[in-house]
Amino acid sequence: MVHWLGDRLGAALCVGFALLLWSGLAHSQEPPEPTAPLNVAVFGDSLADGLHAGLYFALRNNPRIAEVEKLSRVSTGISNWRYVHVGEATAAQLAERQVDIAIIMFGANDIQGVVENGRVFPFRTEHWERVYRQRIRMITALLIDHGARVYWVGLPRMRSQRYDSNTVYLNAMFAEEVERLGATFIATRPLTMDAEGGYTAFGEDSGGVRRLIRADDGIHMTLRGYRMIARPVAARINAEVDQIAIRRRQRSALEAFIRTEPEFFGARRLARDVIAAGFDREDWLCRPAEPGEIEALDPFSPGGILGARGDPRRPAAG
Amino acid sequence: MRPDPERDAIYAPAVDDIRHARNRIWTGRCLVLGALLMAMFNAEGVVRWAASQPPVWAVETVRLTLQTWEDRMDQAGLTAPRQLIGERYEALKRLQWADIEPETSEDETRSR
Amino acid sequence: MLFPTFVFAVFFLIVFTVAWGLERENGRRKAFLLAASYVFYGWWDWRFCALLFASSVLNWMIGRAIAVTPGNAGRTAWMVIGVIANLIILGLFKYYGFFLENVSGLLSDLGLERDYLFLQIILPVGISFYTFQGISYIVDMKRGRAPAEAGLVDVMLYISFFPQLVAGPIVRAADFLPQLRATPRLSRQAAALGLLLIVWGLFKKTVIAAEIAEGLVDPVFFDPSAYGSVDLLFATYGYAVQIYCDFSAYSDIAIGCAALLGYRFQRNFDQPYRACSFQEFWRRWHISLSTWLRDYLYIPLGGSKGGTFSTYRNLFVTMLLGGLWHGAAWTFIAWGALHGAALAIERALGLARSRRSLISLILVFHVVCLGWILFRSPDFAGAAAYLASFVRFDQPLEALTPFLAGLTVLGLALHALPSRGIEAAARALARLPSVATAAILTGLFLIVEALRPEGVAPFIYFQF
Repeated sequence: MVHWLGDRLGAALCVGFALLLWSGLAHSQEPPEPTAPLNVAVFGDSLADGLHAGLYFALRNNPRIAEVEKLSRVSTGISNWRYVHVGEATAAQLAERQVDIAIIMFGANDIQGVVENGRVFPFRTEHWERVYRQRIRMITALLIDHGARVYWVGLPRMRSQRYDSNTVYLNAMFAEEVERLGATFIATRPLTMDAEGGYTAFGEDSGGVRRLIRADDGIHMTLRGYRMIARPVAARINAEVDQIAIRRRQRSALEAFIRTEPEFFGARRLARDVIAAGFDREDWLCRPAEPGEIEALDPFSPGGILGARGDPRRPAAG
Repeated sequence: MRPDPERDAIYAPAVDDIRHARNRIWTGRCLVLGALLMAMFNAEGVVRWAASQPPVWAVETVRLTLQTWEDRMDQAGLTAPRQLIGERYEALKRLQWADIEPETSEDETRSR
Repeated sequence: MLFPTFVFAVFFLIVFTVAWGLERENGRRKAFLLAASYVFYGWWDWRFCALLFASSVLNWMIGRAIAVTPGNAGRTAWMVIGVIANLIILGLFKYYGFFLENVSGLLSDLGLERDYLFLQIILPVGISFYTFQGISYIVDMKRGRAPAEAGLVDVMLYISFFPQLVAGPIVRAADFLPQLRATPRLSRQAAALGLLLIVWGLFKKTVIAAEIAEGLVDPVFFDPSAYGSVDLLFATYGYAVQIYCDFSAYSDIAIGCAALLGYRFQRNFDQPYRACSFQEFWRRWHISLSTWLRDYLYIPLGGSKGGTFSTYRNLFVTMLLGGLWHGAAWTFIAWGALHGAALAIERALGLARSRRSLISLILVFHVVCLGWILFRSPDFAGAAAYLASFVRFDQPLEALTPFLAGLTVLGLALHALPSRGIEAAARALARLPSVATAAILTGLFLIVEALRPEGVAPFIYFQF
């Protein structure tokens, strides 16, 4: 289970070869005309709500961005999936819309145990961490397979020392798991610390004047604060938006190919593998595929992520 | 207190201890019966509350017990009224202007 | 603890049972209610309780000092000290950040920026309400209206009694303290009214206010420039409905909870958008605040006794400070100024006394709505953007759905109900046996529960 990713990514040498060919081809044909504007969506909890507000204003003047949608929901998290199963909720949200750039910010509500089959695993225990990491991967993979470029935004410095040490731990997990899947982790912690690395409720605005950036609870932020942490995220998106647009077009071309072309010497399957290996995961291991493995990894197969229903990677308890 | 004849009459205290006791018992019964009826007809609400609590062994036990309770109430058909109202209301929320512009009947939009 | 939650329901059932169980022991009963109030308040943050305790004890001590001081001059001096102490507490916790925000640019220009000035002072929930009650106690003591013999527990319970603690109504010492002398005798009609008010409040808050806020008001006010004139218009009406339903719901539930425990609070709202003049609006909107401002601010300033100019000045200053009370922001001050100006103009033109008509009702409502735009917008730029966007007539509807439009209309239509309908319903309900009453109320409650969206946001007035 843990190595599903490596297995999946190492689909076949020939897929890699095909991808190389394809990307070379695509780059040589790089279209001069602009691509359609991209949809940005923010997933997460109440901190993500605020991040959305900041990002909305930071990206509104970018003509390459169609809209910045708020798909976050307060009081949700990755630990407690009995209340809101974020995996299922995200899949349902993705079924209704095209998301090209996904921003995720979770974790503030996650300082609690997880439940599997009626058993409670307390926060920061071994099994808890295994489940938690699995869920991070699951959400990230869900979005990547949907065709989105994923940016995971880390938690800011918290006022309470104990809470803060837990967010450091969560941030490390986010960064590690997300980057392994080829997504980007953006830290906000350095922006919300003073020179000594301590909590500060004030940050300097563009004019160099110190302003309140944190809410009373020492967890949430003021609108000014959200705009501040949204800035690096927006900068990253602005820098990569053209590249993301091109990749999206390549992907849709392949998908159109799968939909329209008749099966010819496994060409359609090859195209699917290209999508799976080249677009859904940016790094992959080159090793020969086991028989049947490609089928299992196919996102369009009944068990696949774009297939009918049921995600084999979802933890059994849900 | 500012004069408010309407409420002055309503708040007029019970004239003696016996009537006070009767009123208190009446109010207490209303609350207890109300709580019982809500527990039966609105079992879902309590389960949702338990699910939103951070899980520890005790909370999980309570939640599972409440879940069983909800299942029983569900089998008895008591949760149906709440669900019916909820579904109708959701359908109403999804209504768009295009759905009601031409003279389509209300039933048509509701049945979706 | 928030009213429309399961935890509060359990809490209240326990409080109700124990409080009436202690009915033969008024002293213990009061002590229990006081303890319950601290539990209620400490649910947010137990550290807040210390401030509440300090504020209550301070007010009681000032009250004692006033009671034992013989001369009028000495009593006045104690009263002034007490009022200033309350205002300092309020100012420090509520307005320090606002002050800093406005001077920090200046400080940095002058090179006076110092680290120790940059304190994040946490605003304790409900502080505006309980400091005003403290002032009411002190001034009523000085005026001889509050019972001089009230003990520490009585005064503490008056300031921290949980139904009104965090968002009003602002109860008067002269009204509440006499009710603590003996265990109240319960009136069945009052209990029925209490039960009805609780269900009615939950409906207004969790069904109307929450839904309009999420679907219409929040998105439109977040970026008004993305919407057309109809959306903006309905979002303004929607906010008028939302703030009324939200705030009056809190008052209703508070009045209802107090009634079930045997205490009486004043009515706080009386169908405010039925007002045909601004004067009437303030007699119908947040009555406990407007009468507080009248008795403890407008009249001490001189009221309408000192000639035309000073009357207008007093009116304007009262409304300006009333605006500032709502929050530490320039938009609230501007909102107060708008209402102050409207009241002054109305008075100058003699409109308040002239014949009322539908036209004046519509006019007053729309000026009030203009005020709500200021009130809801994060800053002046936001309010200006909102007003500027009104000209986009050709933009298609985006936020407004038939459902939200219907809900907004329903919220306004509540004002066409008989103004004493709930009292009539309570009288009818009180005549029924408890089983029937419980069945009716549960039916209503169940409908509210089925309609409410999950996870209801806190009441708007908590932040004030």
